[in-house]
Amino acid sequence: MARAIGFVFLTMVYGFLLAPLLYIVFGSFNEATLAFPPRAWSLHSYAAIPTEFLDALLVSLIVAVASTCLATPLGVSAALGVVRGRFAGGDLVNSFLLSPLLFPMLVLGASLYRLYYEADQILGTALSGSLIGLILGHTSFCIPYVARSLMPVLMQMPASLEEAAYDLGADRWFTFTRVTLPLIRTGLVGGVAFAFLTSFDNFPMSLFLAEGENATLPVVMFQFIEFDLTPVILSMSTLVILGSIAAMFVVEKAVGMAALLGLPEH
Amino acid sequence: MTVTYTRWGLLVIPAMLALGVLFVAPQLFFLAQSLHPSLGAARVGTGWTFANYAKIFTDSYYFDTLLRTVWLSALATLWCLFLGYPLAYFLARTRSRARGLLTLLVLAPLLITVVVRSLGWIILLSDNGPVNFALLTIGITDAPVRFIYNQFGVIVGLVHAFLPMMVVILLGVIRRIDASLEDAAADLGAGRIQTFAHVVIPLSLPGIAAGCILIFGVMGSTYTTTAMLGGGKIVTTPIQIAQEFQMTLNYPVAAALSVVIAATTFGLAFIGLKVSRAKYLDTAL
Repeated sequence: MARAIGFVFLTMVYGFLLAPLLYIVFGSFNEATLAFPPRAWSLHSYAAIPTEFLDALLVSLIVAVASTCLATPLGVSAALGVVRGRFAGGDLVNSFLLSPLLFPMLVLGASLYRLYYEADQILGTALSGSLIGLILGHTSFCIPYVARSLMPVLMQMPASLEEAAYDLGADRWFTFTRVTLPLIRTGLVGGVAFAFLTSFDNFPMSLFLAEGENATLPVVMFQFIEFDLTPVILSMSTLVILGSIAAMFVVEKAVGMAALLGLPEH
Repeated sequence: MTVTYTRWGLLVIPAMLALGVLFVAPQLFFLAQSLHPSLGAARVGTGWTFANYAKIFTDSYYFDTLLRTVWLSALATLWCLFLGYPLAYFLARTRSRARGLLTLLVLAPLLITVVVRSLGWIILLSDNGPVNFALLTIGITDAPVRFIYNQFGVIVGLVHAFLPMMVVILLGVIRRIDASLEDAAADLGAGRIQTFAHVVIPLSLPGIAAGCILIFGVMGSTYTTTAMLGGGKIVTTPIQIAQEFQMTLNYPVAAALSVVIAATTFGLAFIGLKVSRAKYLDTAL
């Protein structure tokens, strides 16, 4: 009896988790209407994806790649410094490095939006509404994602391996590229993947920083849903879902989603 | 040659500088703004005042919204716990070969932008969506039921958005409970439900509390889900912050609201994270 109730309950929870995503995919093949039941099946809403979505997709990809590229060396270096360096206040530095992850993204975006405006007035920069400003904003939360994924891997790796390389005459760079990097590869792949996806998915920060032609895909989709809810949004969403699932399988193969989220393996 | 450890510490400097400029500086700027008087649309005075904070906590327009934010977050957190705990327990203890896949199915929504996830609920629950179609066909109602653009819709969206995170936290908590304790209870004649109620739940209470504090804190700063499923009808403090920026342009009040929300989320998340020892957190909603 308990088993049966448990089974029904779990099925319902899985249904709840997956229903909205499955229904988007289902609805994307529905011709011309969002209403249920569908009137006719077709790929029409895929052919009709407006170019503004594709432009925004390109912006999103550029921003995600650029902010991940900026954040990766900073995050790797910070993780090495925190784990390998033994200095007073190391824990404090660690907490500081990870603190953007605890911070409301909306506030981060709003405050940067205002700061960019002031900087433009006082220093004569052109950050407001710029692609650079958007990329820098995303970099701020990509750094902790990269650093956090690397730290556990670095902690498990004995420093004696690096010492051995030094003893055998390797210099710092050689040791880093030939010893450290290969050993921390899994953490690095996970961190980079997570930073990329978090940037790609971000809405609350981009809401403030991504304007006009620099609007990212989530921003354009959000506006589209608000003003003009038509089936083409479902085909674009389906593509986003499929892309995200593909990325998840890459992460799963490389490091394991569970490990990336800090879950201990059995 | 021995490695000089102290110099490794210098490697944290570039990231610290970057975060100093991109993360700390805007917050300090916001903090300063929140202490300046507002001189009307988009104009900020130079004097110093606590008036903006006083306004938030005395003006019912702001304070009621703050209370609503707390209420919605609390409600949605409890639903996450109710749905997430059995699921996490199942994933922690099952010996099914499909465990990996079933875990992945729970985590999958995390990687999909919340704009798309909320859209799914909008079309599922809309007046001419499948849920209302079913209700009308069976004859439970004569007119479509309003599920979205109200409190119900926002709660559904919030629970859906945060359930995976709750499961991740609870999984970590339950996995640290020694399964042999449950076997012992069973050997002593306790049924499944008894074991669950008298062994598993008491042992995971500290983790449950930490997880709830964490989720509650992060939920309170959520913008996207509330904006999409509340449709402008349900106003929480994050929504109000965006409104102050986009419409009223009262920057000092917007900054003060941001400071209140950020300090609360940051504080609660910090405590929750420390106590639950969870590693994953998503404030990007």
